[in-house]
Amino acid sequence: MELTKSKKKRKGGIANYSKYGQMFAIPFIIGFLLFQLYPIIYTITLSFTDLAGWETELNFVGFKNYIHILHNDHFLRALKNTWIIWGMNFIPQLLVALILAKWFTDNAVKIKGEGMFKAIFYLPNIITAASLAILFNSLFGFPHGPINQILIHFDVLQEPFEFFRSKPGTRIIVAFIQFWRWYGSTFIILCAGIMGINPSLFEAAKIDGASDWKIFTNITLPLLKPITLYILITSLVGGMQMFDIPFLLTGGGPDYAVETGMIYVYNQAFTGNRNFFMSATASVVLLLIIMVFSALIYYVMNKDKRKVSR
Amino acid sequence: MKRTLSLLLVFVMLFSLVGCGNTATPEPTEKQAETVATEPTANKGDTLVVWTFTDELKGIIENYYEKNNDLDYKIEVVVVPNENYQSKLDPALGSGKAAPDVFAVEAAYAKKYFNSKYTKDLRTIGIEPTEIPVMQYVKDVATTENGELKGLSWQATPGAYFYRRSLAEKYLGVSEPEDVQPLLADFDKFYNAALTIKEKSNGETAIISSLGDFTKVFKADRGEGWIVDNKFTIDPKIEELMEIGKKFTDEGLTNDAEQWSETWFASMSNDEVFGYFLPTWGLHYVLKTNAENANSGDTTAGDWAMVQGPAPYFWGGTWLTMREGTEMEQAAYDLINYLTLNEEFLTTYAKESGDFLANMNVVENVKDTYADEFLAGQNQYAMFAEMAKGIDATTMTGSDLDIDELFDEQLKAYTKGEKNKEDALESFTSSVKDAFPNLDY
Repeated sequence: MELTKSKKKRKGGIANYSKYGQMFAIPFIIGFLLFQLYPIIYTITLSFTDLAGWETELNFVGFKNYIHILHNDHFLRALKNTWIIWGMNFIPQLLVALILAKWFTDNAVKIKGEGMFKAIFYLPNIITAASLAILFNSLFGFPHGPINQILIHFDVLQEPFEFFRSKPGTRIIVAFIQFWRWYGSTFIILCAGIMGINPSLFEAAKIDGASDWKIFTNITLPLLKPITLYILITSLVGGMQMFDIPFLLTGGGPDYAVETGMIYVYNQAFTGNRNFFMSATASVVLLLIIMVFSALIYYVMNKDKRKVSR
Repeated sequence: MKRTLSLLLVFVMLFSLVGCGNTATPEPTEKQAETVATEPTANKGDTLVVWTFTDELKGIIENYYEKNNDLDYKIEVVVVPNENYQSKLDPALGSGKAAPDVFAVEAAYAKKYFNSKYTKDLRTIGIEPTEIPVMQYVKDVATTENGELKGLSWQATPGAYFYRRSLAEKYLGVSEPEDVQPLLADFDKFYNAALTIKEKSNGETAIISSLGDFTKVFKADRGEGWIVDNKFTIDPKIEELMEIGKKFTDEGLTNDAEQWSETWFASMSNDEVFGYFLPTWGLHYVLKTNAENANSGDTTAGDWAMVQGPAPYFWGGTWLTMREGTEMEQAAYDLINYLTLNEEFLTTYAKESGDFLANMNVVENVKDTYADEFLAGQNQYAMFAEMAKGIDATTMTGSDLDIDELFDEQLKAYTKGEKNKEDALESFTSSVKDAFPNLDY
């Protein structure tokens, strides 16, 4: 009797603690259900309807929207733009961040004012997208923008160039802004990654007479793989949702050169006939693309890792 | 930032839809042409909610309506920026929750609301279109196919061509409006004048700043709007606009600026541009405010004059409309009635603001009292009154805002030589199709 009683008491005490845990978790769960799960489910539901404009009733049409959107030149063009701009931004971003991270973590180089440089590299990330877009819009303005005036002054150009009427020009500017905004944060993450590698590995390699390049390619890079994987996936997720900079810079122009997937989603829902169904379908397709490519990247990188460890 | 922004977007999108999905909307009430004018029903609430997209209306309500009337209810004016206006308004109207009792709509999308079931026919509460002294085109815009009057405006916004007197004297040899107008009376003459100005100024001065400046004029000259009986239509005038736009761009007759860009504003205070196509509000809020050079302090004020130019047109304008099913019918009626038909208020307002009005009685009374120093003493009011008579608003549709934007993109691509005309028109049609799958093609 005594024993069971005390057991009961203890059990009750434990149960009480877990109750508190659940209570503390409730706000998150409610927030999640209301503001994340419900919208996601509603978006997916919408993508199977033909809701648009003033209509209020959901009218289910099956997979029609998905079949239609995969043959929709405008959406496919938006996807292509997204990938082009993301590629143009991500590859240089990773390279520059890697080089910088290598320098800043190299004991032999010892850069002065390391903290200041890190802050400077990170600074563009703090400026809001709206300010950046306005800044670049007037920098590259036509015909009297500062960049045009400088280029003409130094005889690079004979007459002003209209950057925002040139498809490659505008794409490069958007990609550059993205690059410039994010290389600082990538750099800091890579620095942390490199500093997390056991220094004795570097020392051992040095004693064995390995060159800097050998150390970098054979020790730093392979051991940075988990961090690179993280950067790649977060950048892909962010890149596929690219919206603010191209939208605020030119609204997607010239001739839809920087109309990204998200801008397409926005335009479908908030301009024209307000085709919520197309907007929802495009969102779901974007979600699927992000999921598939994230899984692919994860799988490929991890396969490599298994090989290395073997 | 990207993440938060996109999330926010998704939320906004979804909640606006949730709003639509959950509540029953008031059934549209059938109204035939022979509707008998009745009184508005009494107020059931204690706050009149007014939505608008600029603080202009807010100022009028605060400074005139509330001051001059003893109201037993509150007026709450909500200003939503124009770029978000429709996406906020649509769900509110759809659900009827937190919806405005009176709301303002802009010319570029006014028809969308007038043609919807969410706006009230003003004839049913005692405003008879044939009996009010409001300009015909202002009433036409707010009149549906069934003859319902869905809104009214206190202002009319006829457009003119404003030019610099000193430059006209230098390059065209005349400077007075009555001598300049014949030189610009149609687009062929306008083109010839553009050539003369370019030649005599050695390319220093262009007749217009941006190609966008005269698209409004051309569109007003169309026989048919973008949508006729739910069918997407490209009027022959549009191709003509593309041709003449190309000619102006190729021959360097514009200043190569974008409308509303720094360059566009800057040339209002220097000699690069001969003139601008602007409406009534453009004179006060665009030209006058930009006539002084920020660096040198030189000003072009007093050197301007206005003429009609190649064709009559109007640009913008705000209409007031009442929501169908509002609980503040009497209050909404009082407000609209006061702002658009109360001649005592309108006279005071016209004198104090210089705004051009739609009420013909008031215009008749005040028009001869103006002489704008900015225009070297020209009476802009009397001229606008003359111009307003020539305005034809039948080509206006509820989707003009979006379709115009899609067209302007292709117009730029074509005139700047990025595409040929067929490709540009094809891209245009295809983008309209993508945005408006509900139309016939």
